[in-house]
Amino acid sequence: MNPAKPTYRDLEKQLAHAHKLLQAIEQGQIDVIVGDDRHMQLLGLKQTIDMLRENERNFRALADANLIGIGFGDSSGNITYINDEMLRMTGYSRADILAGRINWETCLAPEKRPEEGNWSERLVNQEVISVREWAFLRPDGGRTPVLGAASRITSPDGLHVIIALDLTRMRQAETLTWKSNQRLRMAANSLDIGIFEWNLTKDTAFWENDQMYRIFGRSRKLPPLRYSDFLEQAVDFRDKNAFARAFSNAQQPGNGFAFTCRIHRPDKSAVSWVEITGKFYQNDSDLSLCMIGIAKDISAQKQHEQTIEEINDLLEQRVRDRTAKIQKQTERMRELANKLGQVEQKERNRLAAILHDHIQPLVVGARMHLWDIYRKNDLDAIHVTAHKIEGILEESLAEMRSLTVDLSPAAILNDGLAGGANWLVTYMKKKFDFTLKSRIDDIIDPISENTCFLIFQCTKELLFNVVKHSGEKQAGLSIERTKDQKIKIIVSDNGNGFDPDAFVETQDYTTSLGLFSIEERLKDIGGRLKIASAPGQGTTVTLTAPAEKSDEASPTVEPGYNRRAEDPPVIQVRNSKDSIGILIVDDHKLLREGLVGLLEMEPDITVLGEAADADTAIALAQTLEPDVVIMDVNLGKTSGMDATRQILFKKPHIKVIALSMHYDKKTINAMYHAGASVFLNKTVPSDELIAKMRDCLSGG
Amino acid sequence: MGSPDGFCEYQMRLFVAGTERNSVMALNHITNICHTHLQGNYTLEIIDVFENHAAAMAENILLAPTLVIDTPFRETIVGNLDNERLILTALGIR
Repeated sequence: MNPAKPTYRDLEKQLAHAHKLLQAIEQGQIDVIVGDDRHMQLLGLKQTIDMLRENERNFRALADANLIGIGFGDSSGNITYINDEMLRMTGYSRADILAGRINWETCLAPEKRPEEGNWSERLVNQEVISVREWAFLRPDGGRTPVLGAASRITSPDGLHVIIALDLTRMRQAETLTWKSNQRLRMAANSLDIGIFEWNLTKDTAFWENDQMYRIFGRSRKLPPLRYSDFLEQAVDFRDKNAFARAFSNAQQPGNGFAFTCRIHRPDKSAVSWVEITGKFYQNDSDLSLCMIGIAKDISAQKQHEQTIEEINDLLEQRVRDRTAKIQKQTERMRELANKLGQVEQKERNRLAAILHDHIQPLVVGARMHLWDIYRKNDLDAIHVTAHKIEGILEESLAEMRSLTVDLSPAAILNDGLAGGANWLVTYMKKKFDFTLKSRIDDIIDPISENTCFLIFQCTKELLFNVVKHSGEKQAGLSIERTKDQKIKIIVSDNGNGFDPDAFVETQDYTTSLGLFSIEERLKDIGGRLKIASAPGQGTTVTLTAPAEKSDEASPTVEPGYNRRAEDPPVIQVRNSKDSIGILIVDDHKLLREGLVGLLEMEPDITVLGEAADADTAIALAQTLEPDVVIMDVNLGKTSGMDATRQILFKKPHIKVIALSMHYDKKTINAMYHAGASVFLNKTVPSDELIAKMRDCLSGG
Repeated sequence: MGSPDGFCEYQMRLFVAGTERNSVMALNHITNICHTHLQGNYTLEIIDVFENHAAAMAENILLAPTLVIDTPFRETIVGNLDNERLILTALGIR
């Protein structure tokens, strides 16, 4: 049966229904189309599409978060989508990308293109380009380092996704770290300490800088020594056990390692000293036990310490020797002081004996004769007794002069050290029949008084020693002034000689002041004593002392010894032009008074004035114009010789009669050379003095 | 769903596709309309085409959701039933 033919009305209804269905479909109000299997397929497809849509939403959220760069491309290499982060990494604008002017291959830096180029082909042939480092070439020429990967999404059309992570900051951090490491390494290499790390668990070693290799004398080509090798090969056997113990102790928590040991280098050079310090720690990555530390070559320091130790030992030894010597010298000084006291007492006794045994009896005798005179009325008898008294006084004077010379030779007072030396020559000959071959420098004077007397005394003692011990009858004496203004005296003989060291050790200071005394006294004024002698080879003693020049603080010995200033001179008026005018010059008041009393007994003699020193004498000679000047030789700063010379230079008609206690040839010659008419000893009888005076005035 | 005394002036069937979006919307809309305008005087049968597609095929229902009104007038409405006026007209209320 044929179905009934639809009416127009039916068709119209069906059309309206179809229209409604289409409208509903267009409006998206339809969930499924119901059929045999179709609606199920549609349902599955819809679910798939929904899943895709959800995935897409998630992906978009990820892309929009811009945590990583995400882009899509097609098989032609065009970029179809790119998120902001990826856009920033490439450095291009979105317009450039979407306009197709830029594709992935042009975005890549040239150095990466050979490897990563031709994306389309690669993605067609393989689904994934695994993660690796790229660099985007930005329009400004800069690079953006990235960690990227790509994956094909659909095949075979080559739609792909690219993911990239910006490594710029990581690279910057790496660069900074690298630079920092470089600086650290440079600093480590410039240090004079070696830096090392030992991994005990793995028994490996890392020597961090060049100095570490230098200290242990190893080439960088060789591997650094492991702990076991280090202990066996490098550490000296004397320190090995102690090193191992210290190393073991350092592994206890809280302990450090510090050890100084001797090491050997592979080249068998000298043993070096090394100071090693370190600290154990546990490696975070593999929990192995490690020590990091430093090593320092302290060989030089050790050498210095050893040198200092040796020097200290030497110094201590010297101090001990010096202390012993000082103690010995102190002992000798004590002995010397005792001896000096004894000598002083002996000298006092000697002087007392001379006074008591020789001078005092004479004076007593003279006094007894004087008493005799008081009792006598006979003038002749008085004269006889007076002559006896005069004789006794002369003898007294002679004794006293002898004593004076013995205490302090007048030659020193008159002619300084040179005079004293010459006196010694004469004295040694006269007293001991000992010949001195002298060579005395002309310019040794002036020197200070103290030095002069000390040198004279020392020389005298040296010569006595020579006489006593050398067994010779002659010796050499040399006195000179050196260029550095020192007085140098050499006493040499060819006699027995002696061992100076043994002599110093064994010398008996209780019986003699000896060389030690001389040496000590010389040291006191800055001088020194040098002895060169050997048994059977004679002796040469050199004595050196500073020759101070004359100054106000240090009185000097010159010809004419300044004794003392006394009362001002007496000036008298001449009685008559016919009388003889006398000027008396002497620094002893009593002597002047005695001379005045003696001369004034003569009717034709007038004492016009007295002077106690040379300057006054010169001035008075000018004003008083005496006929005769009785001149003492020893006046002080300006000697009687100089005063004579100056008086006669201005008043050549004046006659000068020299009077002196010292009757040595040199003094006499000097006075005559100065212009004196007569030279008389002060012990000369008064009538002879007056007679000589008259003689010289009358031209005799 | 519907009148308790067994006679209802309005009898309807709603063909849905599970809990799909439009199906859920359609159910919500017709429920609201029944509650508002039919005062319990109705029956509404819900048929899930995923579970009972034979019923849909028997009624020649091609799309889901679709509302079939049996009484007072036979009428078929396709879609999510968001046009309330159209439904009330089909029910003869307006």
